[in-house]
Order: sequence, then C-alpha cells, then structure tokens
Amino acid sequence: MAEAAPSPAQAPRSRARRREAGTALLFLLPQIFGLVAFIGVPLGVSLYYSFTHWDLVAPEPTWIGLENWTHLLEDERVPKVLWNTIKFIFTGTLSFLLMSLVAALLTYRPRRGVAFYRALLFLPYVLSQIAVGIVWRWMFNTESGPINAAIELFGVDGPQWLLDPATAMPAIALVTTWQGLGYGMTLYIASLHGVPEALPEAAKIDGANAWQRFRHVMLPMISPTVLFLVVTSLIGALQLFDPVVAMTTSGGSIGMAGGPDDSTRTVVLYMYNQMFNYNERLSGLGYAAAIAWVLALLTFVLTLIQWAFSKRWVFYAGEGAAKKGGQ
Amino acid sequence: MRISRRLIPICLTMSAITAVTACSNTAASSGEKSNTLTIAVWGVNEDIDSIKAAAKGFEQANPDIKLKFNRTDCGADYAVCKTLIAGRNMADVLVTGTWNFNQMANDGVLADLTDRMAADGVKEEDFVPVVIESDKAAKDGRFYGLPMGYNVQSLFYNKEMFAKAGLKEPPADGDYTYDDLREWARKLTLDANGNNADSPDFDPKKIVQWGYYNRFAIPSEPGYWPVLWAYGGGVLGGEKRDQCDLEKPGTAQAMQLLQDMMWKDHSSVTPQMEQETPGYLRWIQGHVAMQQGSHEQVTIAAQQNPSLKYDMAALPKGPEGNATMIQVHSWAAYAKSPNLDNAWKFIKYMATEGAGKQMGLIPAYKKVAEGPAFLKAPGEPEHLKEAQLDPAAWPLARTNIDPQGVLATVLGQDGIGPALNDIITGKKPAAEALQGTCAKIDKILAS
Amino acid sequence: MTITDTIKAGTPQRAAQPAPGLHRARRRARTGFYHAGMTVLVVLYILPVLWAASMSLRTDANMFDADQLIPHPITFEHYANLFTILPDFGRYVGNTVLIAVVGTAGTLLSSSLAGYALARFTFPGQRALLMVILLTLMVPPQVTLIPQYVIFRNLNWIDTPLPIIVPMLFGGALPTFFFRQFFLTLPRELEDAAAIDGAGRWRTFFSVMAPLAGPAYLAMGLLTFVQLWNSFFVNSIYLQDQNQWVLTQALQSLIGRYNSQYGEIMAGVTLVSLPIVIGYVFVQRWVVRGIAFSGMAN
Repeated sequence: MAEAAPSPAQAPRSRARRREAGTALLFLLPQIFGLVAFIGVPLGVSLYYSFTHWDLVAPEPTWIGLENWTHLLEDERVPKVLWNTIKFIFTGTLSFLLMSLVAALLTYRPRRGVAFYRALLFLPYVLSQIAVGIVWRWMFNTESGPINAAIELFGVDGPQWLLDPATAMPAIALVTTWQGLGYGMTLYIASLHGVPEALPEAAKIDGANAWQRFRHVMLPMISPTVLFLVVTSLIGALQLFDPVVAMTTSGGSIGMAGGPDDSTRTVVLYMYNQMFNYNERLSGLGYAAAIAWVLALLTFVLTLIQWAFSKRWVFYAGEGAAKKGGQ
Repeated sequence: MRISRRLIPICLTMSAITAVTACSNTAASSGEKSNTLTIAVWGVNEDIDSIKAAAKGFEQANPDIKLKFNRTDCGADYAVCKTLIAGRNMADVLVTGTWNFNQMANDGVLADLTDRMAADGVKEEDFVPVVIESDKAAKDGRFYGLPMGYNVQSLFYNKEMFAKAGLKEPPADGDYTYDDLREWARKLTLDANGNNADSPDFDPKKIVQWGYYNRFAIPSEPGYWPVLWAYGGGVLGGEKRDQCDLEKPGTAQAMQLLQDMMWKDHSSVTPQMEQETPGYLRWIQGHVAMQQGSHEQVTIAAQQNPSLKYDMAALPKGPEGNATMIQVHSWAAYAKSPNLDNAWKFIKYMATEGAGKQMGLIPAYKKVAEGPAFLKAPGEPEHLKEAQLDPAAWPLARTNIDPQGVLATVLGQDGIGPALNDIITGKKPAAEALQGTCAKIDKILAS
Repeated sequence: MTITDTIKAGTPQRAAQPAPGLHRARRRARTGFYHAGMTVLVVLYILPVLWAASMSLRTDANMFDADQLIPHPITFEHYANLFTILPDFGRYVGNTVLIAVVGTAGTLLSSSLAGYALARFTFPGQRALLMVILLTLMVPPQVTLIPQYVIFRNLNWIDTPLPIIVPMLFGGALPTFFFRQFFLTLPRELEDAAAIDGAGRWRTFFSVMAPLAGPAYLAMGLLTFVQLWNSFFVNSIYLQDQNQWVLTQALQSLIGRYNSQYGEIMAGVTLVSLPIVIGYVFVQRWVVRGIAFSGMAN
C-alpha cells in the first residue's frame, strides 16, 4: 500500500486506507499485546529451548544445537504416538464435529422445552474432569457397565474397552465426543441463529426438502462456524492429553499412562513424559520443546491445507461487498 | 503478506519488555533469607492436617520461625515440583518418597544433611535400619533426608470370613506360604449360591465374595513386587537397581500365581472388577477376604466401615522366604534454599521428637515407634507389631528406591506396561508375556 | 409417520374436522414425537452424570453398586463431610468466581474487538496476522509453561490469581478466531447504513455490530466461563497457597493414591456443576425467547 501510485486522485484514498489500518490496529491492540507478552515470548523461549538440553533442575539449559531435532527423526516412538493421535482424529474429532451438529439441529429451533434439552446436552461439558474418569471407568467396565449391558441385549459379548488395545482409543474418542458435544452444539446454535429465517422458508416454497434446505441453505450460512470448529478441533485433537491421562493413568504416575499396549499414548503425552517423567539422555524441556514445535509445524501445514480447501465450501455472507484484500 | 509497519515497532517493544522480565534472574520473593519457612507438602487433606498438627510442637518451640505450608506435589508426581525448581521458586522443605528420592538427590535438588546430623547428634541408629538406609543417596552414601515415616505391605484379612470358612487365621509373623494363601483364597471365594471356588458347582460369573485382592490388578508396584521378591524375581535388581530381573524364573512364577488366582481360580479381583470398584474398597466393604495393603487401610477402614472386623499378618513366604516392600516418605531440604538452617531445624524436629502420625505412616524414629503412643493407639489391629514393624528386619524387606531414575520408563509403555497388561487381563501366560522384556529394560538402562 | 397415524386414528373427532384442524393435529403429533425422542435421548446421554450425582447420595457401602442409580438409602453425609474436610469451601467459590467472571468479561471484549478488526477492516498483513494468532494455539501449552512461570514470578504474581486473569483480559486466540468467523457471516448492509449516518468504526461496532453478535457473545462467554471454572493444571501451578485455591484444586485434594473419598468427590462435583447448568438453562431460555420474539423461526 505504501507503493500505491501517488497520483493526485488516489492520494486521499491512500490516506483513508492508512487511517483504516490505524483504527484496526487499535481494535487489535489488546489481543496483540496479550499474545506477544504472555504467549509470544514464552513461545520464542521454548523454541530456543529446543536447541538445548535442560532437565529443569540444572541451573541453566545447555546449548546442544540440532541434537534434539535429529534425535526426533530417529526416535522410533514418534511414529507410534503420531499414529495414535491420528487414530483419535479419525474417531474423536470426526464424531465430535458431526454429533454436535446433529445436537444443534435437533435443538436450535425455539420451542417449549429446548432450553432444557440444550442444558442437559451441555451438562457433560460442565462436569469436572475428575468425575469423568471415575464415571466412565464404570460405564466401560465389562462386569456391570451399562454399555456392555446394552450390547449384551443383542446377544454378543461387549469389548473390553479400556483394557483392550484395539478399543481403548475409540473408547477415549467416545468420552471426548460426549464431553465436547455441548461445546460444539453451543457454537453451532449461535451460528444457526444468525441464519435469516426467510432463506430456508423461501427454499421450502421452492419445493426443497429438509435435506436440500440443510445442505444448500443452512450449511453454507453456518460454514464459517464449521470452519472454525474444524480448524480448532483439529488443533485440539493433535494436542490430546487430559482425557488420556484421566482414562489410562492407573499406577499413579502419568509416566505409566498411554496403555494398554501403548495404544493411547499421544504425541503430547509422550512429550509430557519426556519433559517430566523420563530420564533418558535428552529427556527434559529441550527435547519436549522440539517435539512441541514439530507438532506445531505439522498443525500449521494441516491448517493451511484446510484453509486452502475452505475457499471451496466456506461462504461468507458479508463477503459480497468486501473490499479487495479484506478476505 | 506483511504486518502493518506500525505494528512491528510496537510488537518489538512489547516483546523486549517481556523478554527482559522473562530472562532476568533477579531473586524471587522466596530467594531471600527470611523467617518464613516454606514447606511443600502433598497428599489428601487428612495427610496435610496430620503434618500441620505434628508441626505444632515445632511452632511453639520456635516462635520466631513462621511456617507456610504449600500444596506442592514433590511426591506422587515430580512434575509440579520440577516446574517450581525451573521457575526458581521452590519451597525450603519438601517431602520425597523412596520412588523419587534418589532421582532428586542425583539431580542436585536435595541438600546434604550428613554434617548437620553429626553436629546435632542425630544418629543413624535412632531409626529403623532399612528405612534410614533409604535416605542415603546411592550416588555417594550421604544423607539427603530424614524419614517422616514408612509403610509396609502386609496382609489384611476379614476375621469373620475366616471364621465362617472354618479356616485358621494367618500366622501374624508370616509363617505360611503363598500356596497356603492361594488355597485359602479359593475357600474364601463364594458365589451367589454359597459354593466356594473349590466346589464343582462354583459359578465364576456370580461371585459375591472374593478371596484375595492384590494391586497387581491396576497394576501398581507395591502390590506385586513383594510377591516377585519372595519368588526370587523382581523388576529391577542389584544394589543399584540397575539389573533386569524380569526374565528370572521367579518373576514369571510369581506373576503366574497372581494371574492364576485371577483367571484360573477366580479367587482374586480382576482388572475388570477393579475398574468397577477398586479392590481395596471391596475389602473395606466386606466383599473381599484378604488384601495386600499398607497401614493407610487402617485409616480408610476407620473412616468408611468402622464395624469391619479385621486383623493383619505379615506377608507369606515364597521359595526365597518372606519378602515385603517398604515405602519411605522423607523430609528433605531444597539444596538452594536460603533458609537451610531453619529448614534443618524443622526437618530434625519432624523426624525425631515430632515423629509419628504424619500421613498415616509408621514412625521410623525408634523411640516413638516402640513407645506405647503408637503401638497401643486406639483403633489399631491386634497384630500391628508382627505385621507392620517386625517385617522391616527381614532380609527381603526392600524399598522401591530408583537410583537410576528409570522407574517411570521401566513401568510405562516403553518398558513392561504392555507385558503387564497381557498378564493381568489373562491374555498370555506370564513367562510368554515377559519374554524379551529385559531387552527393552536394558535399552532403557543404557540410555 | 406411524405415530402420527396412530394419534390421528385415536382422535376421530379431530379427523372429522376440516383441513386446518387436521394440520394442527399432525403438527401436535410431530411435536409429541420430538419431545418423546429427545427425552429418551437426553436421559441416556446424561446417564454418566446421573451416576455421578447418584454416587454423591450413596452410603460408602453402596458406592459402586450397579443397582444404585437411584440410591437406597439416600444419605447427605458426603455433602456435610465436604464442608468439614474443606472448611474454606466458600473462599474457593469466591476465588473461582473472581477468575471466571473477570476472565470471561475481558476475553469477550478484547477478542470481539480483534475478531471484528480481522473480519471487517482492510489492512496489509491481515491474513498473516490471523495465521500468527492461530499459530499460538498450535504449540502445546506444556512447553510454554515454564517461561510463563518465570515471567509471572518476576512480576511477583505467584500465589495470586493474576497469572490466570491478566492474560485472559487481553483476549484469547480461539475466541478471536471465533468472533472473526461470526462477524463474517453478518451482512454488511447494516454497517454501511451506519457509516452513511456518519458513525465511526467504534460507534458502529458498539452500537450496531456487537448487539447483532449477541448469540456469539453468549455462546463464547458461556464456554470461556466453563473452561475457567473447570481448569485445574494451570491453577495448581500458580496457586499453591491453599488460601488462593479454586474449586477444582479443592476437589482434586480429595483424591488420594490409596484413599479417594468418592462420595465427597461426587458431592463436590455436583455442587460445582449445578450453578452452571442452572445458569445455562436461564441463559438459553432467554435466548429462545429473544429469538422467538425477533421472529427468526416458527
């Protein structure tokens, strides 16, 4: 913009643009300050740590150059924990996105009683993580747990859930979907309420059925929120930690979580183990930071891909009149 | 894509300010010498209350020292503690456990107390030998802590169930074998029709009373390690705990026994049952006849089922004799504390005069442990001495010290976690599941 | 359909009525079907929560019995015990409310401003800035914990709620991204009209756009509030002085390695969750009425 041709006709426009950028800066100032001061600096410091070895108790980190990064490439546990994390994305994240949309569609219309349905569907999100671990171990247990009791009604034996490597991650995905549904639903509802009533009505008059109205009218209108949830739930899934700890820590230490048979140890759990629990040659904040940054870069690439694809399916109502460069 | 030029200088200034804040190592509030002694404690609320109560005497004797108790977990999980150390805001005094004591000593977190002990006449002989031994760091044999107390694994049993089954109660001094225990467990396991596990009509799907519970079902090491030791096996062996004992025949034998009790005899609480209701609660509620546990069970029973009629016995013999596990909690000082003098005064008081009744542990200070105040305390079972004090003198009474700092990795997913899961869920026989585990452990020990 | 048919068959007097009545009957049947279905679904859905609440009312002896969904006998001793074990419960409520209320309010204001700027202003580097904001979410927070701790220690903020509240006052990356997405869905005509009336960007934001984004504020506010209300790990690092504890720390202190007080834990969880759920019902009823009033849906 500074390079804009200084022809007399364009000079006032350029000044207006500069004023606009100044106002934008004021709007953004608190957020930028907060991010720089409380997150940006620690992020930079953590990037520095990734080139050091620091077990956290030594007075200072020791510079070791690229050793953490090269070790990361050789660490045979990394592909496994990455694979466990991907397993979660294909179960937990997908089911979260779909089920919370279904819950929102079931309850977004204002009618008698929906406030209660919403509140009850929201309830698990409110429930403290402490209770979630205790209660779901009961839900999943093979002896008297209600899930397997229901499965046995069909004459089949239910799986061992948290004790079987094949079903442990799906079990965690089920719990996180159950917990997160209220979160997704609340945001979907807020965005469904932004859809002008006239649009689906008009489509109905045009003879569109319920699915067509949803697919071609409602979905495009809420697509910015869908994009938000897709992007942020993927970021969250790649950092899956708390639910795994709550469901698989049994011997007392987080160092032992991630079972059975290494089937639920996620990238961030492994990172945490390396940071606090393990005592290997490179264990400590340095190696953890290297893992964290590789994960962040991976997330960044995935987000850019999502962003590129989003142009095909995300529709911004305000975009029509948007000035160039706004989007 | 550039960020507006005005943003850049503002961001740079702001990051400079915070960077300075972040990097300057000016002494934090707790980095200076003061009359306030910060003490990092952990545990449930009763544990903290018991420590505060025991410290009352110290506060009266030293009115000039102010005690500040912080809830900082340096025991169960070293993570919070490490964060505070890295953030240079660690307390002056902390509580360690045998499982992380050596690691902290190796890391240089703990202050060497040997000279102060000598100067103040605190002698090794004043404490239970196996316990005070665990406060000597493996690296140099010097003292980095004094015991707060310890717990010993014993057998807790339901007296009424033994009487009903027509069985004699276990000898309190441990003069019985794991084979006896296994047999009793079958006789003490009952289905809904009152058949015991030895009966041909026994229905393992309708068990209402189990014979035995061991924390192997979780799996947590104080549960199964003593059994392994009694059979001549173990996880980490040798003075420095730097040898893999997993492929010794005794390890497989002991784990096979525990597996058979769960899956063959159906006399022991399985991981599936454990998930439904923790086994120790089943015992407290009177659904399990025997469990292996330590002194905190006395507290829980008093709290949750005061009418439970129980007693305790020392753990049984295996082929190698009687074995038990001792977990010691110790008072230690943070090496870089500016208040080391006061910290030592406090530690000395809590480990000697003030010993006892801290975190529900058995005091290691002989004068207190052998005095009537502890042994004849109301609510203690009859055979407290035989089951909880005497075993500390057994040759196979070991602590779960971890001089190599590898315990979390060894017990976790890179170590024996997967094999243990196969054994406790009955998927593979113990010997088969343990095959090749030593290769993994050696790799961990080497790294 | 079958249910509608059954109900129609069961109400012949209605069937005899002309078309509008038939229409109404069918609609009523459909509503009945909806409520029946939702009730079953919701009850199944909250079964684990009911189990938690029921545990808080059981005696210790029945704590894990499968047939105790409706506790018999019912006891309130765990609630009483909770206040004996944690005599300062009221103080923890106060600490938690302070953090959650101030933190939520600050986040909503700062993030909506930033989200609006990212959605509706034009300035160079706009998209890059959004990506940088998102990038801050992508690094797992565990590795920034220690540098953050050092900053707050040097500011002398340890054992005060400031390390948790102050960063929230400046907004969060996630809510900012959400507000950006939400503002993008709003039509531009209203802003243009305000601009023609001579309103500046600030006045347009506060008097036109922010009110329009009411549902977004409510939703994000609620979610932020719950997150702060339930957060544990960060609090346990910064608030080690028991006087500064929040509720999650108090509940966590009931869990021991060998001695967890399940009844008291569940009593605490129930007490801590209840106000939020009640608040949610009221907020949602208000939302429903507001939308019905503005005539969004039938």
